[in-house]
Amino acid sequence: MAFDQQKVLLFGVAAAVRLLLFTAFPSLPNLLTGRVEISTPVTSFKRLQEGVFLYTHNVSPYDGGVFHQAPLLLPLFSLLPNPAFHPFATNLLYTVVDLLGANALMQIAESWQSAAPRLFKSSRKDLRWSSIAIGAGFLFNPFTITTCIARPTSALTNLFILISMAKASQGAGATFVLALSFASYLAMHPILLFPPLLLLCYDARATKTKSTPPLLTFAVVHVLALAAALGGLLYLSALLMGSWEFLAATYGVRLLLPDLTPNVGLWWYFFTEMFDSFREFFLGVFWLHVVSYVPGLTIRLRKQPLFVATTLTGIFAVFTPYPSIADGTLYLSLVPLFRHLFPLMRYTFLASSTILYASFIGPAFYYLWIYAGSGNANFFYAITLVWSLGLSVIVGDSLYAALRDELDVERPELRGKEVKRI
Amino acid sequence: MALISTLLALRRDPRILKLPPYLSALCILVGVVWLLVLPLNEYSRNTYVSENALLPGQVHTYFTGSEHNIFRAYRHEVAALVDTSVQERTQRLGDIFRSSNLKVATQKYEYHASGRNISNQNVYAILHGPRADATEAIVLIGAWRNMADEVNHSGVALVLTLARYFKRWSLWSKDIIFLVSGDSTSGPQAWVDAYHDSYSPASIEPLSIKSGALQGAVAIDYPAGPWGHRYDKLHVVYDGVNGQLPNLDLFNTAVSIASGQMGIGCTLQRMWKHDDSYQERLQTMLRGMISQGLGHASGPHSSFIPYHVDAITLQTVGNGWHDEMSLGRTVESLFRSLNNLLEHLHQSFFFYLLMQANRFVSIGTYLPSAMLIAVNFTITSIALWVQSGRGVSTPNPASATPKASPDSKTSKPDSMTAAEKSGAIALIPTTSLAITERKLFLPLAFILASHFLGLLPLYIFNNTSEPYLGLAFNTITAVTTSLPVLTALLLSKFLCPTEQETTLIQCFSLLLLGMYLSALATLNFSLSFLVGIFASPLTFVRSLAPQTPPTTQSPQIPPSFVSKNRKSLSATMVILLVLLNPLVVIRAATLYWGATIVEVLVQAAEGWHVWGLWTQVVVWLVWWPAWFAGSVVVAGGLFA
Amino acid sequence: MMAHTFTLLLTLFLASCTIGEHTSNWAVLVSTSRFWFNYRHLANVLSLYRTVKRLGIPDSQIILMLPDDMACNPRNAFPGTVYNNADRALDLYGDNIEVDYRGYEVTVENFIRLLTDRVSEDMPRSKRLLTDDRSNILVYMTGHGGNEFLKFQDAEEISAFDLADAFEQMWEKKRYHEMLFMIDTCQANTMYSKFYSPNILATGSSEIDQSSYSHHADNDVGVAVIDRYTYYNLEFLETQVRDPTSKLTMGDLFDSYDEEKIHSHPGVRYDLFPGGEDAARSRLVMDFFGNVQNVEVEGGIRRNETVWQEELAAIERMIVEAKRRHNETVNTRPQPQHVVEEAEVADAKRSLRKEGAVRVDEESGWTKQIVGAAALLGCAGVWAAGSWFESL
Repeated sequence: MAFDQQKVLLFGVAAAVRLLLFTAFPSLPNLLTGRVEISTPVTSFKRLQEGVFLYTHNVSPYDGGVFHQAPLLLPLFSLLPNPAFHPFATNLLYTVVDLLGANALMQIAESWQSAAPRLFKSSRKDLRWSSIAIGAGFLFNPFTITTCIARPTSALTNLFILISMAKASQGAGATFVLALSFASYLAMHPILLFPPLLLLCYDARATKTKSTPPLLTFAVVHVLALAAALGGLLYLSALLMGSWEFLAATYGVRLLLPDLTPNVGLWWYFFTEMFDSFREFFLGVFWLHVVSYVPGLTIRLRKQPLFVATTLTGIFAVFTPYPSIADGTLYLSLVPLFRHLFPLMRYTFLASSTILYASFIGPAFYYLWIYAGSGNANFFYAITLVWSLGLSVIVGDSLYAALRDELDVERPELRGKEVKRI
Repeated sequence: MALISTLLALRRDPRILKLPPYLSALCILVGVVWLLVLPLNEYSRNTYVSENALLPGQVHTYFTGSEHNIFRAYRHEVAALVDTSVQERTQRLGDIFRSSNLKVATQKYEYHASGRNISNQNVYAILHGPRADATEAIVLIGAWRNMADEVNHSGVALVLTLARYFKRWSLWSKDIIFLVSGDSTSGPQAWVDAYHDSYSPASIEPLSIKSGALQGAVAIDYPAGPWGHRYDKLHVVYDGVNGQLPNLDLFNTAVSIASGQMGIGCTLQRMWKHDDSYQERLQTMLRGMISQGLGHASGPHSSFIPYHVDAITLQTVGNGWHDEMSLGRTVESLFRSLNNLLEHLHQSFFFYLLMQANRFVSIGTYLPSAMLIAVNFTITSIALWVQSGRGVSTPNPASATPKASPDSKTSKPDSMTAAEKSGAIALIPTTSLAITERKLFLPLAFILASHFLGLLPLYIFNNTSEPYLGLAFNTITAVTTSLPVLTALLLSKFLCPTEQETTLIQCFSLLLLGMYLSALATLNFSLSFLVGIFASPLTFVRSLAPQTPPTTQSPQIPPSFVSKNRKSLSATMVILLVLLNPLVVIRAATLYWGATIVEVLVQAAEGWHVWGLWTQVVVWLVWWPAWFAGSVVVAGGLFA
Repeated sequence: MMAHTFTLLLTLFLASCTIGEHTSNWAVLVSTSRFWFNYRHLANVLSLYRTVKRLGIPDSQIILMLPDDMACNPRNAFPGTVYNNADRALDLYGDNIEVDYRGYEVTVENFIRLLTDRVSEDMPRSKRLLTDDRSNILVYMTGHGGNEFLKFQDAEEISAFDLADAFEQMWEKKRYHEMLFMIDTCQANTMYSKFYSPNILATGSSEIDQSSYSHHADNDVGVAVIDRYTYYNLEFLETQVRDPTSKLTMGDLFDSYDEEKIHSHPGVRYDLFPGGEDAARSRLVMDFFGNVQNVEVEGGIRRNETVWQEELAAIERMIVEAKRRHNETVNTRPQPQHVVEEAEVADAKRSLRKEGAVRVDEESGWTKQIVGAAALLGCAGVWAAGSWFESL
């Protein structure tokens, strides 16, 4: 059981690093919680604590417009001891969340749905990293660690997205739907992952059972299951809160962007400059833009549904209203699953240098803007643009590589030839 | 599309790899020359006060006559306190403030750094503006001991006199705080930390009385003894901790009041004689850059600047005919100007280099020089990346050149057709992939490890007590000097890094260096520039491994020469790099300026523990890892 | 409506006395900048205010706009005073200052509404320019300006076009007979270059691309106290126009401008004035800076008083009514009386507070935790069920 030993070692070291950081630098979690790059208004741990405080004091947590997170998080965190005095339980929870996420990621890697799904065998499918390496890439990614230390609730969302992908790639329909409904319940936009993951689940099921059930029935059953699960969660929340007002405070905020706190995304700056009369229009356009990738990619890359889901997480990390580096880290952890595409990617160095530069200059410019008073919002926004550019270069480049990979399989005689747009 | 294809084709041209070293050298050259032309009239500007509200020098000052007698009396009071205990001194100073009907409070502080115990007491008094709303305040500081550790007799006496004098005016729109700090660096730091509630209660006491947001601070450094001393010029000190600077308007106002209204000459950066020539301007600017780059506290005002409180120190220098009353009037006029402020100083520059009391360059003009230095590393690292991808002359498969035989540099159309017609699809990709993959694990692990290694000296220097610091420094110098050669030896023994891997180590190291320096340039230009200059040879050194193909050697040396003298060349480069070891550079700098190394290290440790100084972090986590990686790569040539 | 009636009556009454000349004089004196370092702009306006008052324009016909209060600024070394000269012989703020628009009321909108009289009905008379087609108006403005604009309060600006259109509206509404427009700011002459309405005589302190300078600073107050152009205008008005019978003409005033002293090129625009330059120059200074002497306006004033009292009574009735309605809605108990009394108001508030009170303290029991734990366990249970279902 050498394999399991490796896994235990990996998880042990990852947990040790996290708990060590938590205990050795007790002020670090609070420092990182305040960073706009990590904590957005809809995921911030500080706001969550405020919500929990109000909740335990019998005040509606959504009064006052500070708390915008899902209601079920409140009982969860109110059961934990107050992190201001006894942070260990919370730290442990977030460490476990990361480990479970890594576990799910490794399950995805082991399912081999990335390089060899049912309908498509990549010509380079033997080129891949072991699941341990991919898990390590997730667990020791500095962005993942920072996210874990800062304790935003997006860590939970990431966990459920990873689990739903893992379950879908194993063809486990029920838990896939449940996990995705949890993720969507927490953060809303993961519901857009449903179409590709449904196809992935269908393909995985078909491979497993060696039969192809009618896709339509399969889809209808799962859509209904998802609706039931989401409805159940929302109803449970309403029971817990005593009213439905949490809908406007959570999903309403995510949809309509009333809080323009800076983040690493593209929306906030644009909407601070917006004339009020155009606000609704551009909200519509921006959301339409995000959503439009889902059908397009799902249809075009029907044969590689896991790649579509991965690319969508990358798109969410750039184009949703409140992205943080937690969304970026999810995407960057999923990309190594597609090791076989790397030889076809052309701008890895450019993209990774861009991301590296952005993640160092970003805080520097934020400091100049907010603390030193010698810069302004444009400095920081320019860097968020660079960060988004880096991510979208990876998205675009990997899309190119995936298409090229399909082409290589379809038309082997074209291998190695320069592609030209006609 | 055609253009892109041309560019892509150009990318594969082997000649393009020869370009980057020249490009890097050009960047460094332009960067340095850029800095050198800044003192010229064409590139620098005369200073001007851009905040309308300040109105410098528009008021009559009345600090004369009878105030002079009071000042002399206070100066004797202060002189009598020199040999008394801290407690008694604070008590007496507080009594003097109280006799002027001011609210008084004290603050004890105690820091530990380098095994030393820095403990003292601050005393301060608050004058509430009689018609003000107590939301803003300005600070007048007289440190009990100045930066040279002399008792600030006249400075403190002047603060006491001015407190009594200001109390009589009714025109203050802000509160005025008079602070007599125990010393010139830690005392103001303790006070300003406590004022902004960001302190550890273990080392400093909270302030019992406070006022509004601080809008500015002026420190007086006038160590003339009880019988006075007439001075020649005012030395305006403006560097803050970590190289942050006060708003240029404050400096300009002080200069324009002192020289324009009072007729006192102003000087800066210890340039006691300044005839406004090119050399003197350049010298002033370079001294300013070194001071900014070191990021140390240069006076009682320095601690205020990180809190975005603009502050300067006025220091009297030389023998002349100006007396204490003219300094008092300067401060009075300066405070009247600050009193006029409607909002925080923000109109003028926060980033500037001064080359004379009324000549400066702003960030837009000088930033490119540091950025060019930083960009030089990025260019080389990109070149190394590209080179690592074609180390054995195989092009990147994504660029879709025909997979030709490994030794040919140019594409052969017939080999391509062969591949097409063969139809052996499975065979070709495996070979092509095996060749072009970059092995990233070792380089990344190495870079990561070298950064972690940097934490070690950082910790040691900040937590060693004073008697052992010299020893620690010598030991670490010796260790770090020998470490690259040892590491290279071990690497070649056990891991046998390929040429590609060593290239990638250098590539990542330079990439990170370029990134750190360009981020740093926006925060502390001078530090970024200085580190960049000292690290610039790292761009040009290369590992001279035996299989070096003719395209990748250093441009200065002809190939035959290289292959013959590989080892000796490597050794030369190693020795050159040893001289550029950060520790050796620090040692040389202390020798040049006649400082002792222990003193510097003690200051740095105090900076780390008390002021929140970041310079060491840059040295140990930016500069040193880059140097280490470069040295290991070069030393690898000795053992290949 | 009442105001219009009054204006109409007044017009008829006055028109019967003198025909072909103006029958009243008004002055609109505007400083557009605030902050201590703009002390001089307020001093400019107050100096002019003092002069026109001395020459006979009553406070009721002067609209004074002051965006800041220099006299009470904590930075003022001489609290309660404003001086326009370093000798501090004359306190401009001394007695009897009626500021009609103050602080943040001095805006472009309010200024244009004042000129065009497009104000709501409850605007007090002191804030209105109740002129007619037999009124001569002096408009004096000072502040920080540029090419074809004048800044208001650091926040907005009025353009030369806005001003020209406002004057045209005034002309169309027969709100002036003749107007003297005087402006002291940087590039002042551009401000009147866009005027196109008749009967306006305009003058400014400086040409395009020219700054307008302050005259001198008071080193105890610590700021410049007056601008050059205004200073020399005042010098003329104070030394030459000694009493309301003065026969000096506008030409004399314009000729007194000395570019050497003013440090900029003052300009005059005659072309809108009927009769051109000659007619304009022959107008008496007193036609704009002083009041007409041969008019009795007592009848008007008296009528004004009764109207005013009626309005006051109406307002009082409205307040009583509003209070009654307020009481009815607030108070939960039926309230028979109409008269509001303190105790009852307090009572009503107390009952209101009782209804909305919320106790904010931590729950002592564990019910909330149990419910929450149950909800979470439920989710976990569903998950377990899902896994079990799959494993079948």
